[in-house]
Amino acid sequence: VRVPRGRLGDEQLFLLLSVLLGVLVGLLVVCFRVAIEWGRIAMLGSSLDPGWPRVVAAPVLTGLAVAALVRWVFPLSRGSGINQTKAALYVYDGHIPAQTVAGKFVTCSLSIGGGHSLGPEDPSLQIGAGLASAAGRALRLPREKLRLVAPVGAAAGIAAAFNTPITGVLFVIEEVIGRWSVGILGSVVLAAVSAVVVERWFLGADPLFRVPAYALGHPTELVAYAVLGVLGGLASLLLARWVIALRRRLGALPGWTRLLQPAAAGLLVGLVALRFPQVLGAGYEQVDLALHGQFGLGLLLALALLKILATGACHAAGTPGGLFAPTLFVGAMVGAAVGEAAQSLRPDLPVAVGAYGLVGMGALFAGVMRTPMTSVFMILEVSGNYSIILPVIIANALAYLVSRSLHPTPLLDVLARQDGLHLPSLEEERERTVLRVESAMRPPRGAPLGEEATAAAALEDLAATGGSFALVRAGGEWGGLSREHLRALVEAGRGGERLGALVAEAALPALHPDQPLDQALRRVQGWPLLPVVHRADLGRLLGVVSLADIVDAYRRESPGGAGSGGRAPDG
Amino acid sequence: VEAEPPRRHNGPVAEGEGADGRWIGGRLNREAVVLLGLGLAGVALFALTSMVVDHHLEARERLGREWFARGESALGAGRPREALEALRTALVYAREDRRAHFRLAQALLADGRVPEARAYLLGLHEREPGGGPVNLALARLEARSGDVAAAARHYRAAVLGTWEDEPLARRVETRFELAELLVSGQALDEAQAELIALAAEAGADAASRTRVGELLLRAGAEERALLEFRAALRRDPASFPALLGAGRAAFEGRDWARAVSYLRTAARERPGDPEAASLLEVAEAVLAADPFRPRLSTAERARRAARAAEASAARVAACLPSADSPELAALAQRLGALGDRVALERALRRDPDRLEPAMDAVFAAERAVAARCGPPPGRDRALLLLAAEPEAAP
Repeated sequence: VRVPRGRLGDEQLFLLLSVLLGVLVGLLVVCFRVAIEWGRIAMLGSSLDPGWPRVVAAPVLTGLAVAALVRWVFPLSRGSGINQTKAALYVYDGHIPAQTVAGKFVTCSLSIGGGHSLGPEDPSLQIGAGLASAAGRALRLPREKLRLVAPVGAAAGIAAAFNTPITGVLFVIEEVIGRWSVGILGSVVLAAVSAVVVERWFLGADPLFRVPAYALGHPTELVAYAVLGVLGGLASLLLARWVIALRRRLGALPGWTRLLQPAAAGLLVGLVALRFPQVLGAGYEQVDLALHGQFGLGLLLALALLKILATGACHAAGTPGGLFAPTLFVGAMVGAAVGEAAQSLRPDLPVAVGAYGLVGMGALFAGVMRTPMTSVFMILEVSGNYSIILPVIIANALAYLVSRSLHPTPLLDVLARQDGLHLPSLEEERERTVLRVESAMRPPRGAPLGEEATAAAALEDLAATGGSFALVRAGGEWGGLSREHLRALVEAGRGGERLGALVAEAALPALHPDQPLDQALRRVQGWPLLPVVHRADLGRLLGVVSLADIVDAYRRESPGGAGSGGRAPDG
Repeated sequence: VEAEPPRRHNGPVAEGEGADGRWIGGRLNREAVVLLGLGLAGVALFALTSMVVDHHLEARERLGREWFARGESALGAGRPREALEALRTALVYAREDRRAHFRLAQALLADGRVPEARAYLLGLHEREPGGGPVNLALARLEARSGDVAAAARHYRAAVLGTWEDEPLARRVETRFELAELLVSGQALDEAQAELIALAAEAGADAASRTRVGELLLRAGAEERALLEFRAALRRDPASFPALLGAGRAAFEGRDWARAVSYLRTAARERPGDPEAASLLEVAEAVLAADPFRPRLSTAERARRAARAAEASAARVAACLPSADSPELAALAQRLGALGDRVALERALRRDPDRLEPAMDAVFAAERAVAARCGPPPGRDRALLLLAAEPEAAP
């Protein structure tokens, strides 16, 4: 097969595809946002406070409509879309049916536009992933690339939805792919940037939220931000547990009830909205008002609780739509409430309620999504305000820790398990203890031999120490000879030969104590044991490790593994 | 999660197609076709999105205008709550509309929601620190809360700030408000500085000059105030406020003759005005009571001093029982030692050099009585006013 001149290599093709996907996804997400707003204006009217007939009728009717669409036309459009994208990556070889893109677009435009308490970001992610998957299949990408192309589209989708390229990249790396690799990072970045450029071309470069001036009034204010972090963690816990519990309950109902569940959730939202219309839809306008100190303490707390109630109902009912926006909404309300409380407790300090709202958004996001890095950068990007970094880090870290300690399994992982999918938990992957060489190595039985030593001397040394493998330091390299080999040499009358010449042809790979044990496992193949040496002095032997030592270490660390106790004498 | 099983692409390789699925040889390869297709789809989607977004932005703009108009109308009609909802909705569609933001803050103020209004205004101020209307609104807010320094800072920023319509008039009006604030807050030096600048900026019409003059007068700058009132009178010689102001400025500056002149004209212009009449009465009384006025005969000086001594003695006698003051008792003795009115008048005619010690006793008595029993009303103030003159001080 002759490859024509000028043809693209695989990597180049993938990068070009990433840019194209970014542009296409950006365009789709722009249309998606417009469609949601048109839907809202058509169904709820242009006012922030629609009259009661619309408030009740729109969520109920759209609930019925999307249930029918999901049941008969777009069966893969239920839920938020993040787990579907992860499933495509880990289960279905990157395959997301193209129909899902259309389904998500139509059903979410209806549901979110109709006032269901859900957001457009997670669906945007799935729209991007679906489009990318379709393009990858059309290009007949190799399986490995096809798996990775969906996250590339997902990054473009989330970046365009939030108008935040860094967030798009980080979220996909942190939550969907779970690892940093040069090959995928370039594509993800290109797609995210392309999507955001398109989004800004059409809708402007303004950040998602306008945040009032922020300045830390006094260092003690950080205590209030720490309190916000703890409360944010608790609120995220409440949201997660409510969604999980209600989803389990609704999932246990007969199948036909799925046709009515979104409408029932819509009715609940409508009834709440009769008194609190702020809970309708994604709620970004209300977040903006909260950030500008337009709500009192009581209203802020009421809105936080009611949004949790409404969002849990809508999501558990299977209404298509995302959790990102409601999470940010609840965070903004909790944060602004803490800000209001801080202001009333310390009226002498210039407390910026908007800043608390912003930090609260990050805290909730960190607590619910369990993506601490993404949550920090998202807040910086959606506000365009980098001076708030210190409170954001403090609150996000605390919210993450509180949420993790009280509910170890992340919400998205629990939801995936409820759907019968055991997707890898990337948070658990991150937290998994990495076994290192130092866990398996043991002290050497004697000093290594020099290159001037003879085979006979080495055999005597092994006999004296009880070892079976002689380590030799020769010419700046490590080598080794087994007792059997040495004995054969001595018996053949070659006992006077220098070890330097004997080991010159096969250098022994050396390890360092901090290297992961799986690297040792790969290198130890074919050798009875390997030297573990100091990084700053490669001639200094710190210990030795054999395959048995490595296996023993893994066994000790495995859940319930008692370990083998003693080790077989060797070396 | 439900998903279709993947459709793997491990089918037979077509003629002219490589094992990896790409077209090879001289024919257009598959990836080029797909990429071209994606590119064309992108172009088509771009065109569609452009149309959709144009329409969408137009609709948003229209809705923003409509809701803004509703808010304006409600605010104008004194329905701030309705205006709030309308303006908030307007901002959903025109997020960066500074007018709507500003009117929303005004609606919040009108609804008595000062903290929310302050938060909004501070947000606007952050984005537009040199905005005239925002600074003015913040200045009024600070003035209302009693923070004169912060209010003055915002007023000055408003004076120097940008105004979309009638900037000169707005700046002048803002400086007037600032001067009012400073005068009310007794920051008189600062007020005078602002008013001197204002005198150069304000219009040359009689009303503006009069307004500046009145503020200067309240700031304790009578001479400058008189200049402003005279400037106003040059524009409109019959302006009652300018005549009254000039009369008051002259009165405050103890230029009794000029005060009488302006006040008489003012009283002629508006005969029933109580302030002009009262001031005129006092100023005329001062002129009539002053024994030190130039070009008076010795006999007239003696007559005025004797009458003054008699009046002062009467006031001391009236105040003494309630005040029970040794100083007043001593002053009563001192005045008694001058003799009765006729004797004193005769003595002063004979010896004009005794006029000054006699009037010293009168002025000391007037000041002491005013301090203990309050200043006398109406024209009886004349002697006290004379006593307060710098050259009359002991």
